[in-house]
Amino acid sequence: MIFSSVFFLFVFLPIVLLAYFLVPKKFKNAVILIASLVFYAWGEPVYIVLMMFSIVYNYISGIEIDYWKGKGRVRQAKVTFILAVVVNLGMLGFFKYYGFLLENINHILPVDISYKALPLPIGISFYTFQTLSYVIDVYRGNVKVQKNLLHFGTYISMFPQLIAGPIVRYADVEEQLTKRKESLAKFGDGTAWFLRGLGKKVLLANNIGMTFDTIAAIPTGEASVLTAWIGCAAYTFQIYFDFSGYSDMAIGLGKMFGFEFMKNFEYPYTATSITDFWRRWHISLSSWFREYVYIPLGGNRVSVPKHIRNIFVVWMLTGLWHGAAWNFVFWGLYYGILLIVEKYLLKDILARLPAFVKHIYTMLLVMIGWVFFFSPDIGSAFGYLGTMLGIGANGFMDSMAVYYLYNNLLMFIVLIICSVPYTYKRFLRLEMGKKSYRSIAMISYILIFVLATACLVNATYNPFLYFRF
Amino acid sequence: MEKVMKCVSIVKYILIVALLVFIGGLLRNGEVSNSKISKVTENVTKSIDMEKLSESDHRMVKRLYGINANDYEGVSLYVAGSNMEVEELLIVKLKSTEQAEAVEEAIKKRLDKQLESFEGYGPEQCKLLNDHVLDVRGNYILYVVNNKAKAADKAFQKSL
Repeated sequence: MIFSSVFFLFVFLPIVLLAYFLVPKKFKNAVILIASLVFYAWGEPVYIVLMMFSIVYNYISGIEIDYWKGKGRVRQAKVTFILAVVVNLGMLGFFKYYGFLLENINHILPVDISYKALPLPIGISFYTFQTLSYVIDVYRGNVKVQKNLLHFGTYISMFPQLIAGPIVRYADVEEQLTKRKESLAKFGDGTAWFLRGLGKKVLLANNIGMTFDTIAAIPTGEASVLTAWIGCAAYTFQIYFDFSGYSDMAIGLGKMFGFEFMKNFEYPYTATSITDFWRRWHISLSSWFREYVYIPLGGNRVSVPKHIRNIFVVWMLTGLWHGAAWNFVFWGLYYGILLIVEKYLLKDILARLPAFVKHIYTMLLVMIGWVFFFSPDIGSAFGYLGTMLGIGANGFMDSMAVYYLYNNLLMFIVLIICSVPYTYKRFLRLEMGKKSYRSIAMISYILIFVLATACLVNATYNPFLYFRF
Repeated sequence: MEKVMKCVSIVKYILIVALLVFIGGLLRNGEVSNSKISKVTENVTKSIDMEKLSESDHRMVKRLYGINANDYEGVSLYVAGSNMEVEELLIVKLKSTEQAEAVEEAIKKRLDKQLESFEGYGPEQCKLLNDHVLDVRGNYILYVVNNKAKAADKAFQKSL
């Protein structure tokens, strides 16, 4: 089930909200847990077993680690902890990378191991990272063990952020699981977040996504340089509005149920360096890797070679987290290299450059990065990059490029306007301003909802891009 | 209390074993095939009359079916050169079995449109269209309009 579907908006969500606000406080988590399991089972009837396993197994592991630590039996606690990490990563690794691994073995070695590739359970990368954050934090003593299976199950399976994040760390919601406060103001704020996210996904991402799909279908050699850049720009906006739209909807739904989730995006396309970009893009994933991989490896408080190693490890893992394919590994390493170059070579130069140059520099590198991200394999990625640079392109500009530019110019302007904080800040002033201003804001939200619904009624299944991770 | 913990630990190991059994079951019954689409296409095209059919690109997939080939693991499309012919072959390897419904829907729309176009004056074409084969097997989908559609389906199933 996806948020941007007529069934979710008009059947599932109203029923769950009604049940949630009708039941007494002690049953509220039960409503969320049951709703989340139904939500997940809707699309993954078989893989719900994995979700339940994950809940019960990590719940037990947490209790065991806490018990052995309390008894002073450090070794026993360590064994339980390591086993929990191995089981969680093993499950993720098997479903995500087993086909990739065997495919590469078949390529490299003179063998032909036959295998059945299983479909990827939706959201496994997200909920596995959440369970890991819990187990690690219990072992480190950063959080108290959760002894209530219902509360723990609610944390792992919470449907607002179950499928595509933000990756909520247990430490951040520990208290909210039992002591959150719902209010009309929070519900209203949540609805606004949700509607903005819905608008981003349905009205912006899906529309510009159609342009990208059409351009991506052009055979190599037939597209001009300009067409390739338009396609790349279209994807650049599609992925941002698609993913940040999902995150906004998740944050909004969380607020409706009284939760506060961390922000996942902070206007990433206004960044003035790659380092800055990654402070603004998929913040929950970057924070997770920083907390559980980068800092334990020593972070930047080590020698230069070790620091470079740490950056590479984190970025190779970030790439692999996104998908079992070499283009994702390459994409991760690409950012690893860029961050090292910025840190050790370009830092002073960048500081002296005017903001608009830094902005152009960042956006160019980000767009090149997206080519590795959207291409089905490395070869296609270099083929597309070649076209963008004029190698194997059908001229610099052709009638097709003019057509795409003419048809999407207005859309691109809207997308740029919606990518900067100025627009949101102005809108927020309307929301908080005089009564007449507030009415304008209210009408805008109603308009977003009506237009998005109209688009959804006629649309085919259009999942979020990050569902595949 | 230590005894309770030992019991808890046993439950944990039982859970791990249950997970392994579950995965084993999935692998045994999993309908997902890792056969290459090029190989499947080769076997299917060998089994039918390809005289009227020629290979089409991704733009044609978008034009005829409204789906984006890049969203899938692979797409092979063969269509007849003339508008008066209805022979067609489409093989789609899905990235996820969840995509099957949308592709099936797109194929049915295309079929309905074709039937509508030939209804009343193209009885031969309508017969071929009505005798089509649409076979969804795990992560593979075959749609074929051809007088040897059944043979194509057999070859398709054998290739997975």
